[in-house]
Amino acid sequence: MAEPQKLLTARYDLPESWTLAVAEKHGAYKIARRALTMMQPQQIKDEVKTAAIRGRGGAGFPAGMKWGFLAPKPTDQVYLVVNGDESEPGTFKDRSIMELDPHRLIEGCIVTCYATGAHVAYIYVRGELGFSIQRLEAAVEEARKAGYLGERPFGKAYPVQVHIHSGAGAYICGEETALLNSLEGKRGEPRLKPPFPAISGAFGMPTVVNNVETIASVPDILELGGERWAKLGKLPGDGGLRLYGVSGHVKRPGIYEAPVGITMRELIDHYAGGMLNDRPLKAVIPGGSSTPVLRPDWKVDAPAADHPLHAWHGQSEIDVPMGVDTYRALGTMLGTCCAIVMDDSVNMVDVTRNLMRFYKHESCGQCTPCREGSGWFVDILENLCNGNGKVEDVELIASIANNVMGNTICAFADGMAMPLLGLVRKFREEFVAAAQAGGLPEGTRHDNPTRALVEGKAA
Amino acid sequence: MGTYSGPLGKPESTMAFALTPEREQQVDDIITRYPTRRAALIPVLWVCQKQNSWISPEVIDYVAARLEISAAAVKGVVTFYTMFHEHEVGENVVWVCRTLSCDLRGAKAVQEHLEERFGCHAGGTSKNGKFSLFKAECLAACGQGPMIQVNDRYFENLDLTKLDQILDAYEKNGAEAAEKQFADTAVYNGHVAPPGMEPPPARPSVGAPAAQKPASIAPPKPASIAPPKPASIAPPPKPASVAPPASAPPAAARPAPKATLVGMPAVGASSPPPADTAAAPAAEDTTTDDAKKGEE
Ligand SMILES: Cc1cc2nc3c(=O)[nH]c(=O)nc-3n(C[C@H](O)[C@H](O)[C@H](O)COP(=O)(O)O)c2cc1C
Ligand code: FES
Repeated sequence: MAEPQKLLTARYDLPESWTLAVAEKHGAYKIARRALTMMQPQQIKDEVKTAAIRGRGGAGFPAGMKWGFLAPKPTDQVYLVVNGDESEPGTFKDRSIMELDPHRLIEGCIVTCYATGAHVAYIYVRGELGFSIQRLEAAVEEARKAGYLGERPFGKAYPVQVHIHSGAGAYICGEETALLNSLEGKRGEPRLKPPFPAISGAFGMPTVVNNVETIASVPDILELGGERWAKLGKLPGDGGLRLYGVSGHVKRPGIYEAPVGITMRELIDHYAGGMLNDRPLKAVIPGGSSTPVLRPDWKVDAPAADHPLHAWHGQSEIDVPMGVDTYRALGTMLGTCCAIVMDDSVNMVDVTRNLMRFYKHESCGQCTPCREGSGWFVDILENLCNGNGKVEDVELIASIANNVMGNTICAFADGMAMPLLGLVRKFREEFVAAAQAGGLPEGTRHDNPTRALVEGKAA
Repeated sequence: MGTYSGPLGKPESTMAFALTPEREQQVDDIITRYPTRRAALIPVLWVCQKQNSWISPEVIDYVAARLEISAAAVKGVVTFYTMFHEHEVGENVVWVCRTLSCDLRGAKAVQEHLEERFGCHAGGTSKNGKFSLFKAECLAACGQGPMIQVNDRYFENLDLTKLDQILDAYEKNGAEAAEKQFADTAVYNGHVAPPGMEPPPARPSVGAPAAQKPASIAPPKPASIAPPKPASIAPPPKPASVAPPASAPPAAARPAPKATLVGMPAVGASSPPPADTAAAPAAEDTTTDDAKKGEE
């Protein structure tokens, strides 16, 4: 039997794919019905564990294992919280699910609630995504009317409610504990862990927090069976198909569904149609701005036979299969699996400044190293870009980054310092050059190849 | 505007804020969704901003009283989130994304054009009061940049001609008509793999296809890649080459390993090209052979 090449995006191209009528005609809620009427929660959890699905929100934690940490007391109310904050720069994949196939996500919520013992799911959507919220709310209403949500979904006496909760603009609310605070009507400031949400999450109750794509994949896992779904991926311990995003200097930026374990080169050349204007690839940020950059001219250095990347020893970094573990071995992260591609016209100091402005703006301000460090990064990078920098500034950036990392409540600061260190390490010569030459070289601004396009002056 | 109210969230203004009856009903519905009243705070602020266009001190007092929390708690939340306006804004609010992906596609030209057209900087309001302009951080439309958000609608894949058409529509016909006119652009409208798009061909250039060598790419020490804790996006780098022993304690909230970067030792299993190519400055048309390979 030919393996499916499209699961999450299977209904994207249908006209009115977001309506219950169309989605249901093409398979929606079939699995939820089967799960609630014919399966035991433990069976579902086992399938998800076998499927080896790594969380799609950035950290790649195995979802089946996370669900296993729940140990509710009989008096506890378990919550499912779906993370639709989608604010990591470069990331725009969850939105396509919420806007083009909201019923897949709601079906995932019903099944996950049943499997984890939750009766209420909150889908937390970032406030800017007004359209996603509108589509989701309409879909919830349809599902409620059809009796798939409510007191007896599919006739089973297992009440499930799904609520859409809108954020109001704060990247940090993607961090799971900040998200929980925001859900509770507080400032989106991360909480110290432990306790982890599985023990004490929303409203002090045991809570499962998963990414939109993770939850939307659950029905497919049950449909194919965990084992078969896992094998769709090309890597052990990292199963399935997933959404890859590509943005930046490629011919066809967008969202592509593909097996876990394709390479970055395949993503850029095959799916995204190659580089914009056929310029050479200079660098790619592989999985959202918090993941350290890759350089096509850097080689995998894994001579030892037992090194996990030994099979790729001597090959370009972008030829390593994209997986949570392979990318970690490479010294970067798969993150949200949404790549930002840059051609040879960009200056990496300029790029770094752009990213650090983001982190400075979004730091929640609770922890001093993060709040102050992000400001320092921007100040130093402004100086380097504007010609007021010194060569020592390059070391200063690295030293501040090292002091920021690991010294804060949440992983935001690591997500800022790690890619910064990666950029400085891999493009050190450009930072030094900016300091020595008194600014950025002529003609190296990161919007150079596209500015003319936008202005309508392209030749 | 009325005088600012006193403490404890009790409206003292003679112009106290009130929601329309339909919106009051909406607030009642929202409150039932949560186990605590306070959890309704952000959704209720949204309802108020929809009616009032900004969160005035009177709105804060109203919300505080309605949800039985202090005005300070409400204000703390209002000031935390960028989408709640603490000052009056124009008829329409325009956000232009300037984060990396959009900037790579020319977002700066969009911001410049908007500032020129509105006659104000980002953060200001056009003279005719029709538009307030704000600079936004990544709005989850990176593949369709450059883009703007007008009120709660996205407009993507912009060039300056299209941008002007959209703004003209808002200016001449009002928001509702403009949203209708451009309705189909609001939904995610970037590329997805066309139907029947095959996965990439087998890769001869890649030493060993993963599927044939599962053992060699298996995570080296399960403990090191699967710390028993609900995950967060960015644990410290744990390159396989320096994987901690299997008995290492799970990564805790305070990650230990630090990449000392000053001397720039390799953090992960990768290394730069030979020195002569590594030093190539990023100028136009200066390409290393290796970089060219990225294009194949
Ligand atoms: C600063 C920061 C931002 C994050 N942003 C998001 C986000 O936008 N969406 C998301 O799903 N997870 C985000 N995460 C990861 C969440 O904390 C959490 O790990 C994730 O939602 C768990 O879901 P998963 O296991 O299905 O991936 C973020 C983490 C950090 C530290
Ligand atoms: S960078 Fe502009 S939407 Fe993400």
